[in-house]
Amino acid sequence: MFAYAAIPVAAGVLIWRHPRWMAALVLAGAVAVLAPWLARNYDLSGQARLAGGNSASLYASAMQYKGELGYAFDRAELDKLREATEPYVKQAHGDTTVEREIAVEEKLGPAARDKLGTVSPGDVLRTLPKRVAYLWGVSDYPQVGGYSVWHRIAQLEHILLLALAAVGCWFAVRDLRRFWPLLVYPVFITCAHLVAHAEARYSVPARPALFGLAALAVARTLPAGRLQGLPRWRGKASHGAELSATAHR
Amino acid sequence: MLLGVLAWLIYQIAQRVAGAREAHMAAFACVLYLPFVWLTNMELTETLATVLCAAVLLMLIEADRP
Repeated sequence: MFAYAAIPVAAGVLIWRHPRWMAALVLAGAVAVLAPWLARNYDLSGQARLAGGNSASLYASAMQYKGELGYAFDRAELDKLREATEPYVKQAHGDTTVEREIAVEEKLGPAARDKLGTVSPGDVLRTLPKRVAYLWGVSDYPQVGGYSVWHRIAQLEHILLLALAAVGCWFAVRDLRRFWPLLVYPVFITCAHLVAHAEARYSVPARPALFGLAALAVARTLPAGRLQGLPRWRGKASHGAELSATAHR
Repeated sequence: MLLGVLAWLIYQIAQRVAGAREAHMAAFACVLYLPFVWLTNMELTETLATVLCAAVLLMLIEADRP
């Protein structure tokens, strides 16, 4: 789902920066990848769907905003969600798995939208910091080992990554023209999970961007001269790094 | 294997936005980053999604270069 969002962005960049045939090539590639899924889903369900509905996620999201479901999303939370959605799931009937899934969507979808409609701005504002903090949490699995020494090591790694990424984010915002791609996924995933339910693992696909932002922070705050004590690796600085060094001067 | 691909993609991203030295650091940090290591052992879509998102990010950076 997240990758779909990048398609129009990439096409837009290419239209803006390069000949239009390149944008057409990207869009053709996207169609070539997505068309078999559309055809397969149409064959199974009789409906032109790219992906399954996500009513359970919307229902969970509304429960999280209302404080009826926690953000840790462990086994107990999952059981709470199952219990809350069970009346709708029981009403759904179908001969095949696909028919049953569609029937569940048809029953649960309106209920999820109604439930989201009861969320007030106060509910959103009250739980927003916690929601975002959990979304960008460590995401360690298995959760049963939550307080082991490995969890603490993962927390340290994650805090260091987030701190460096925050510094990198500051530099990226100052030079948005060049570094905007690094912000696309973190911003998109945060916004998407203000609607869909939040779990730490959903922020994992955006974390490569955090590594990019962290690298930017290191490059800008620890120039090459300050890193003399560290071992030298072979390899030429990229065109981007050269530009960065020029801009820094 | 996907973790290796992810480390390579992160290297490429970091090299373009920061430089070779920072790219080595980022790739090294990636393979030691425990949430990535744990997720590769789980049957979850996040591992593949992370690699694909990193690839799209690299493509965006590359496409935006003058």
